[in-house]
Amino acid sequence: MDSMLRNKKTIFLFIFPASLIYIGIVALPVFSTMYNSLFKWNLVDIKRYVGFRNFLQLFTIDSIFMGSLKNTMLLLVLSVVVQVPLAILLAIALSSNVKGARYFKTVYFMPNILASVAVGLMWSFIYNPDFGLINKLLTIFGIIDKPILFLADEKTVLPSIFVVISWQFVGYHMILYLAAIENIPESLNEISTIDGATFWKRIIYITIPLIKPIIGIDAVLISTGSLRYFDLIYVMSNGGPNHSSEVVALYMYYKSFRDMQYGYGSAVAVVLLALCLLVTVVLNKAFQSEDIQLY
Amino acid sequence: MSESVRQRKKISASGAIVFIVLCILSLAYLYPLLWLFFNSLKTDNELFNNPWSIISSMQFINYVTAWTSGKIGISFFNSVVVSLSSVGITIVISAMAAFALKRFKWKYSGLAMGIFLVGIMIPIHSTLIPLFLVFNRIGILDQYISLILPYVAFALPTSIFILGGFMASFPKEIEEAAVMDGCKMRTVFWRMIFPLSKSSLATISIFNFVAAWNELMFALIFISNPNKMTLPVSLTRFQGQYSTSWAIQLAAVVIMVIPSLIVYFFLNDKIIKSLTIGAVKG
Repeated sequence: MDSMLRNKKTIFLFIFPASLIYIGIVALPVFSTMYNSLFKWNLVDIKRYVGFRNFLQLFTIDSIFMGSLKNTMLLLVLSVVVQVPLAILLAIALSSNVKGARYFKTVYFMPNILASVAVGLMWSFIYNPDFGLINKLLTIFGIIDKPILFLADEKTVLPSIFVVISWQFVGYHMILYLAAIENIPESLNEISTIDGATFWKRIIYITIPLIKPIIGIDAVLISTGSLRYFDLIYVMSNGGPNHSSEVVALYMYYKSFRDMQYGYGSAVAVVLLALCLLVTVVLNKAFQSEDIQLY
Repeated sequence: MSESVRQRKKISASGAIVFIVLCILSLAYLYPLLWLFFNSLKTDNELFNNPWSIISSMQFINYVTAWTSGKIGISFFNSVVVSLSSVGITIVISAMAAFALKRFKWKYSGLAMGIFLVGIMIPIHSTLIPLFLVFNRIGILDQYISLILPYVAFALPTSIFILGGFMASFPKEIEEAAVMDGCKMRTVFWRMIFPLSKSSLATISIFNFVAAWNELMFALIFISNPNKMTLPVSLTRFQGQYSTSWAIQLAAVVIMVIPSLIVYFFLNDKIIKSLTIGAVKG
């Protein structure tokens, strides 16, 4: 028996297809991208080794890249700061025996199954200055007299996109917290009620500390997700106007596949990869250090 | 128990407020979809002059135009083929890998699992340029396989993780009994392990299907032939092509979201669980 479970040939045959695809499509290309980031390489010139000069250029001269990095970080921080508390509040509300909890849960999660492309287009119709829902609403109530160009104005484009991001994803995070809150033993809540703890005290001293590990996981998910944002912004504003809603993933796409600057585009991709790994490691450390174990 | 009942009564006033807030919020989720649907049946004139009204001249022609000359129909078919193939290949090879990693005894199984799991953190962006260049050279751009391969590859880490966790819980007597009966490991896998994993296989099928069905970036870069485009790419192309006719664009978006919504209506519990399980267990 044991020899069958140690049979190298059998093990190899079972793991081979997945390994082949994983190495060929994920691992090797990642290393190839790192290598390519050290070259000046486009369709015009011959491929030429330039060391870290692409990165130097990104962080010193390339103001569009720096702008895209700033926007990405802004969306990341906003997403964590706004979506986490909102999701926790919704989860608390839905776990408190409110009528129709199942219906609300299903409705709030719904946009997560829709393509971001479709969601982005739908919202760009809603923001549309001529027939869009929001502009018509504001006009009827006399709040504005000429339509707001939500996605065509440098000042409003990023907040408008952020609203859509939150609309689409807050339900996802809510589900994570809902599951965590439902895992809190009922006895803990009962004890605290007997002790006279108010609703808010119970949330701050019992609920939040107990779901802290999930907050950590969720912060990682939101952050790495924010770094990858592409679809919504691509269809809603295309990074514009005048790069005011440019994000790193979008810039990587344009440098690589519109300008055909493969070396420079690879450098942007490497920065993105590094940020994803960094954020994951840092947040994991931050939330692992003081896990409360009450179970 | 009685204590918590009393508590519940005490907060029933604030409970009513919470309920109302939740209702308003649910409207913010449902109304945009209804608005989209009603307006997709209007003429552009009706849309501009009266975007509120539910009643319209019922321009089903918008859907016909989007489906045929907008190539949404072809894209729909392409999306089905690509998504189903990706899911089919993913469940078979990730189950095989999870079997090798979790049921066999070998020195580097932990390390191999770790290498697969690193994939969860890797953004697809860091593979795009090399894949584009290689696919271009071997001539598979504009073919289904150029999407199926990356969809499978990026589905593997989470799938193997979930399946591995599930398979590790099976009693080890499964293999022992089967081997006593003279079965080969291949038979053990197909007759026992694979069918026993069906609840996890359903989970990974759902979230990988949703991911493939909605994926834009690979498809945007690898597919430029309109007859091979999947739905998300086709929709982005619509913006320019029908920039003069808004109602047709609305209809195209409705066609994209309707199947997802119908499936979600029937399977929402299972879908919510499938889409969030990887996150919590990771």
